[in-house]
Amino acid sequence: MRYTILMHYTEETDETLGEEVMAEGRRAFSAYAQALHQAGVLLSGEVLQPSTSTTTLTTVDGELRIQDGPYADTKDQLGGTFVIDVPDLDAALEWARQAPGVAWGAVEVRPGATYVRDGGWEPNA
Amino acid sequence: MSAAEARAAAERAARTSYGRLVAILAAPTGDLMLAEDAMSDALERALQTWPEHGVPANPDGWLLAVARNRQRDVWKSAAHRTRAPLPVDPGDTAPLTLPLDALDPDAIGERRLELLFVCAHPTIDAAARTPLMLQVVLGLDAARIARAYGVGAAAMAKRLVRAKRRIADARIPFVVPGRADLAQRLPGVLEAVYGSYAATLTGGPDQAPLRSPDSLAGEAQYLAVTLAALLPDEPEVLGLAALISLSLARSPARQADFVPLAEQDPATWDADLIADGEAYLRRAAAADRLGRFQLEAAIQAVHCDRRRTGVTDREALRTLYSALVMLAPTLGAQVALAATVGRLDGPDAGLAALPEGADAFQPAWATRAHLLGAAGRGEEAAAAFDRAAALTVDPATRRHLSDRAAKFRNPR
Repeated sequence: MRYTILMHYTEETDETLGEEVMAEGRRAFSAYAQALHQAGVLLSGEVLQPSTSTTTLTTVDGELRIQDGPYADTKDQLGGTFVIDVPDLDAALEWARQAPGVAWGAVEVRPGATYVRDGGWEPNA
Repeated sequence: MSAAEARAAAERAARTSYGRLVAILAAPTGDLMLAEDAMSDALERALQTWPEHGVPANPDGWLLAVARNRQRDVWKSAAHRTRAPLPVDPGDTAPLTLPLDALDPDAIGERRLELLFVCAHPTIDAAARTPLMLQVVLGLDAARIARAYGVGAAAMAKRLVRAKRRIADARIPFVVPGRADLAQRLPGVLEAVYGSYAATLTGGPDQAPLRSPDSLAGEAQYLAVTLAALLPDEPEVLGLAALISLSLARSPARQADFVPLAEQDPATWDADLIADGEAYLRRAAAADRLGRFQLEAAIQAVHCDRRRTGVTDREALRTLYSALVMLAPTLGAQVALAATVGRLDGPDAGLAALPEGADAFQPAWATRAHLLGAAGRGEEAAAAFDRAAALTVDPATRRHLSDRAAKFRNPR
């Protein structure tokens, strides 16, 4: 069963946090990815650039609108995701509680519905 | 065999086996809705078949086999496949039937403990946990549960369906937590089982009116006793079974009108339930790990002991309530301690012991009213009884409190 771990937290920079804290954060991500990989449950992981670099596309009155900035302009932003494959929700929760984002914001665990393999959709199970 | 006899046999099997069979049917995939559908199908079939052929030697095995076939038909059917997000090769769904194929109907397993932990899983809406237990373990329908909770049937059905979808879709596992997690997860299960009993309470711990035909008190006791049979070494589980049994034992005294505990005739209490409760409490005490439910059960045991001794040991109550306030400082426990202090040390001491910030708490006003009356402050007592009555849901209790207010207003 595939679950996506979504990490939401307040966006910080080297300037706001300081180099030392940022380095600590990078170490935490590194250790977490290592642990997921060694347990054989990691399918993918990605940390996103700040929402200042994001672009949002919407259709308004049938016309495509392209805007800079995130879809939801909230204090906490989606900062990164990990996709894991584990037997059940308890196992997914066990990994999620170790995610670095837990200390800084909210971590969401969402079961997958379908996923793409070799260009075709497969049911999650 | 007559249709009536067959129906009685099927109903008996449903009552004793429903949760056990649903748990077995749902455990491999987490699909409680399908398990319940299959179970009611099997019960329907039993009603058609048993009058003619007699009740099978192993009714549970018969019901399980029929329900399992029904479940398999659904898995194979096109209807089920289209419920998958996108069309898939039928070959992919075939292995789903394997876990149950291996099941021997004569050796029916026990997965109810797993099911109880699923119902009280931390990712299930807290307001849905107790209703879910009542439905999937005891087979109560949503309308009946809704009445006990005083909410609309449609709203309750929606809450239950949402919880069941979540169990299947997010794949909440049917497992009993290991030793390390048990201490963390068990309180949630106890809380949910207690919730089925608390849904019957409208007053304080000493005045539990169970007159309503919608009362779930009997169901609550069944759940608590079932849990005690499944986890016989957990003192708080035994404490909860003791608490509900002892409280329920006093319900015959509360049939028609509200009778305060002190005025109840102990001869009307249920001696068997008291004996059951005391036995659970003794077993719990042997483990030497005190907890909230054991303390509350011990308090009920002190009240019930009046049946044997003719008096209520209020010093024992003071000790137990003091311990309860330290362990679980709820408003209810603080108010009950104040009432006991009032009886022992006089109404002024009782009033001083009442907790702050209980302005919307009915038992606090009822206790304050009694203490004010005992202190000879009739006007204030009448006003407090009025406040308590206004905060009371149960009509009989409200009537009792209003009568007391009237008596203090017109002493003659």
